[in-house]
Amino acid sequence: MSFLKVEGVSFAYRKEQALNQVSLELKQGDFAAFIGPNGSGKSTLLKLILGYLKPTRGRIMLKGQPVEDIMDWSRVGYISQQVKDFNQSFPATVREIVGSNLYSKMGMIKFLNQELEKKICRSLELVEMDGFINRKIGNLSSGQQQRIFIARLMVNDPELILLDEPLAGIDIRAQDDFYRIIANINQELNKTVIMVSHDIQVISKHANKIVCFEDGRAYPHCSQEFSYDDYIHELRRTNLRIIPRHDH
Amino acid sequence: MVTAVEFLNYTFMQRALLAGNMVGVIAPLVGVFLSLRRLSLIGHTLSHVALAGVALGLFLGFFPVYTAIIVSIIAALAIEKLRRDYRDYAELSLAIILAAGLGLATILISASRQSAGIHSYLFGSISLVGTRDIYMILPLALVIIAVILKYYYGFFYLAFNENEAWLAGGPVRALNIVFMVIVSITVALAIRVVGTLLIASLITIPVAAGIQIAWSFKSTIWLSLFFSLMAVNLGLIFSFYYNLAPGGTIIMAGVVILLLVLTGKKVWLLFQQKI
Ligand SMILES: Nc1ncnc2c1ncn2[C@@H]1O[C@H](COP(=O)(O)OP(=O)(O)OP(=O)(O)O)[C@@H](O)[C@H]1O
Ligand SMILES: [Mg+2]
Repeated sequence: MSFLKVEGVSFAYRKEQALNQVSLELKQGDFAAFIGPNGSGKSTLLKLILGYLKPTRGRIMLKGQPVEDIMDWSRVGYISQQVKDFNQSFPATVREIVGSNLYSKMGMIKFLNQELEKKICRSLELVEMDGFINRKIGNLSSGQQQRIFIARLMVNDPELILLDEPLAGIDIRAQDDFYRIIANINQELNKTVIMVSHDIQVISKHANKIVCFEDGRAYPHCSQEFSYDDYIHELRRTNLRIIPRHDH
Repeated sequence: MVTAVEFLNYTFMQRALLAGNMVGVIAPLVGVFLSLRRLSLIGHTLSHVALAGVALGLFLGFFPVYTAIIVSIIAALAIEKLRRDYRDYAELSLAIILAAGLGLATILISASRQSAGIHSYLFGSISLVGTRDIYMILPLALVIIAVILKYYYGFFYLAFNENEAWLAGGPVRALNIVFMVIVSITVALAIRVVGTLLIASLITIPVAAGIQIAWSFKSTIWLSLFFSLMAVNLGLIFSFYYNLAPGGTIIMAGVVILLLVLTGKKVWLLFQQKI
C-alpha cells in the first residue's frame, strides 16, 4: 500500500487554477523534492496534503485514509514558507517554542512535565541544537531558527514531514548541516519527507524522488532518471518564467 | 491614630484592594498575549465600547458592569469577524467600532438622567466598588485565569505566528473567539478600578515593562504580573491618601515603573559594557 497517494487532484483559488489533475504516489521513507518555477503550485499541493485546502477534484490519501478525515494533526509536521514571519523580539525561549507544539497533549495546569521536557531535549539533539534550549528564539541566526522549527515539528513524532523552502536565505555550510539532519530523520527514523526547494542541483542529489511542477501540473521522476542539466535545458527551451540562478 | 496601613481598616478600601488585585492579575495575563500579537488597539477599542455598555446600563437602569460585559463581548466578536474577513482593513474596522462605541456612549450619556455617575466609570472609583462588584469580579477573574492556564500553549502559538497556527491545523478560530471573550470581560471588569479611559494602559504598560527584562515567555508573564500588581496597589493606596481618582494613580504608578525598568536596563547594559 502506498503511504501517500494523490489522485487526480485539481485545485483553484477562486478563479485561478493552481493545480490541474495532479497524481503522485510516495512510499514510506521516501524523500521527495518538489521543484519548479514560482507559482507552479508546489506550496498549494503541500497545503492540500496538509488538509488545510480541499481539492476541487480528486483526493489525497495518507495510509489509506483521506487527509481531511485526519484529526490527529501531529501526524503531519509542516514548515511553511512564511515560518520566519514572526516577531523577532518575541520573548520566548527555544524550550518554549519547541514545547508549544505539544499543547494539544497538555491539559489544565499541566505544563511541561519531565516526560515532555525529555521529548523537547531529544528533539533538540536530533537537530544538533541541544545547548540552545534556554536561548531566546529571536537571538538565533536564521539557519539555527530553521533547525529549531524542525525540532518543533519532530517533537510530535510525525509520520510525514512537509518542508516549504526551508533553505531560503541559508548559507552553504548551514545547508549541509540541514541536509544531514533531514537525511537522519528520513533514513534512521524512516520518516517520509517532502521538501520544496529552488536549489535544484543540491536537492536532486539528496532526494530519491523528484517531482517537477509546471503550470499546475506535476511530473514525478525517480532521482536516477532525473538530470539537472536536461531539466534546466528544458526550462530554458520552453521559455518558462523563472530560471534558477546558477549558471554552469 | 494614623498608621501606615490605616487604609486596611476601611471596608470600601478592602473591597477596592480585592477588586483591584483581581483585575491586576487578569489584565497583564491577557495583556501579554494582546501586546505580542500587536493587537493592543483592540483593548483600546473595547474600552470605548465598554463605555457605551456602561451608558446603556445607566440609561436603562441596569447594573452598568453587566451591560458593559455584554456589549463588549458582542463588539469583540464583531471585531474578530471583521479581522478575519477583511484582513487588509483590520485597523479601519477597529476605528469604526471605536467611533461607534464612543458615539453611542455620548448619546446615551446625554440622554440619561443619571449621567452624573458616568464620572466614576471614566476614571474609576475605589469608594464605589461594592459587594456586587466583588461577587462578579472574583468568579469571572478565576474563570479567565483558568481559561488562560488551559489554553496557555494554544494562545502562545497564536501569539507567536497566527498564520502558522492556522496551517498547523490548530483550532485557531475557536481559540481566537475564546481569547476575544476573555479580553472583553477583562476590559469590562477593569472599569470599576481604573475607568474606561485607562483600561488599555493597564493592559499594556506592565506588560511593556515586563517584556523589557524578560528572558522567556513565562518570565514575561510573571514580570508583567508583578509590575501590574505593584502599580495597582501603589496606585490605590495613593488614591486613598490623596483622594484622587484611582485610574490616574494606578496608571501613573505603572508609567513610573516602566520608566524605572527602562533606565535600570540601560544602566545595566552600560555597566556590562564597562566590564
Ligand atoms: N492565497 C491565494 N489566493 C489566490 N491565489 C493564490 C493563493 N496562493 C497561491 N495562489 C496562486 O496559485 C498558484 C500556485 O501558487 P503556489 O504558492 O502553490 O506556488 P509555488 O510553486 O509554491 O511558488 P513559489 O515557488 O513562488 O513559492 C500561483 O499562480 C499563485 O498566484
Ligand atoms: Mg511556494
